[in-house]
Amino acid sequence: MDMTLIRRLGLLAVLTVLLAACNGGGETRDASPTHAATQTAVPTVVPTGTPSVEEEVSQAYLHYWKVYSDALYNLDTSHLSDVMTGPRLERALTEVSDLRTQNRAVKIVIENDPVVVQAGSDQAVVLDTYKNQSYLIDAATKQPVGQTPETAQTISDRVTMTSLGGIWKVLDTVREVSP
Amino acid sequence: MNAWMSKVRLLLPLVVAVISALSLVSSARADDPYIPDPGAPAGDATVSVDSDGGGVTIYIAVSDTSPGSSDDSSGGSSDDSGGWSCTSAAMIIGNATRDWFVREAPLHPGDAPWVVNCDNGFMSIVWLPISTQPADVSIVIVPGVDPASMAADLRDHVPVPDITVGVNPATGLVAMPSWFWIEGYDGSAIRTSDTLGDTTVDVEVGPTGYRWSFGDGEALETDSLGEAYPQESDIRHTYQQSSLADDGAFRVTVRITFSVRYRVDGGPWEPLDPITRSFSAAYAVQQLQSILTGQ
Repeated sequence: MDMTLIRRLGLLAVLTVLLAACNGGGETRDASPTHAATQTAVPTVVPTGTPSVEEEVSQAYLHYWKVYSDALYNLDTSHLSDVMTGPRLERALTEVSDLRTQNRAVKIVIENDPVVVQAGSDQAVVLDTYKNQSYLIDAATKQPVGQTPETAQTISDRVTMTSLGGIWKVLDTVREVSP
Repeated sequence: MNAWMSKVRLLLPLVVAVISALSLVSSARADDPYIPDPGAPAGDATVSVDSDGGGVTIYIAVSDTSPGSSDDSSGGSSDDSGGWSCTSAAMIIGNATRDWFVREAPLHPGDAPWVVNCDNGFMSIVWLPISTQPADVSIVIVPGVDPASMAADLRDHVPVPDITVGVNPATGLVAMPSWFWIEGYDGSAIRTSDTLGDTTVDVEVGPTGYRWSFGDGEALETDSLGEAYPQESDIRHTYQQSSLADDGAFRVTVRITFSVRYRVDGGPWEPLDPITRSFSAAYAVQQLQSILTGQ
């Protein structure tokens, strides 16, 4: 890493700490948000919670992918409700059901790149731009159906997570960038 | 020369085999990846940044049909219309995002990550010049394209093939079945696309039924295209009168109903209202008359 970059990172770190300090920890939302059309941004810091909450969210999000991947591979929905709820859970149940009907399963092959952009006490938002090379497999033999993808797609999801009984679960996903 | 020819003869099968193998490899096309969570709703906003000049402007292009979207990009609050209300702030880099930051920062030299946060749930990361102060930043909501309108427009101009009505015999005869079929279209789905800004809309139409009107008041509903002569078409009609009283020819019309669906940026398919297209041909039908001769 060259010295210029180190200086920039250092400056940014100082800036970040100062902004965090100005906001008293960053847990409060600004009462007068910037409105549409040429309004000036208010000097506020997006609440991201304490680092431990952020890490909890990040770990829960990656765990969600593992459980979801296993569900699509084994066509087993029994653990989905451990990591997702609400509309996201409904979609996953439908997805597995549809795959069962087609006698298909899915091998999830993705490379996550999640960023926790908001982490409050009971709600968090993760932006994840991930590489996707997942493919359909036969439900019984687990062999690929057709050719496996040669190139990865880029997908960007905005994921809302909620804390239920102290457990972070994915509530919903909005697909900001589709392949 | 003979030795050279011998080498060519020896190598020729090898060259052919290699070319064949290469063509086989190139024809083995990999499938598209499976998209996780295929039913996820599509986002309706895209963000861009203009940091030229004195300040920094964050543009949020929103769909016209986005709930609460504002069509006022010149100024003022959107609170009273329930429109987009957004803030931006420098991003705090915590433990869980430190690796991401270290990886991304070199890709944005001189910039720092900020988070745009709208009260309708939309959030995005933008990279702004590291010297940017909050007071330097403006956020402009830009009414963007409406994917549904794009899809409807595409649907209304979908390139349906130039279909003609085939018939045998070329001139019909009363009391003798005529066979009909569709020429110039094999019944496959027709897809068309358009891109405006960052939004790509695909529209696909597929036939769901064919209604034949034979011009003499009779009609037939079918899901068949018929078969071109000399095959026996299953679309048949027997006229009971000549077309003499109908300006010399009946107007045979096939009306095709197409179901329509569209998707935005490769997302899930959504239905649109179906469309119909009609194609006609003039068909003369004659009455055969016996002539008795006094032999």
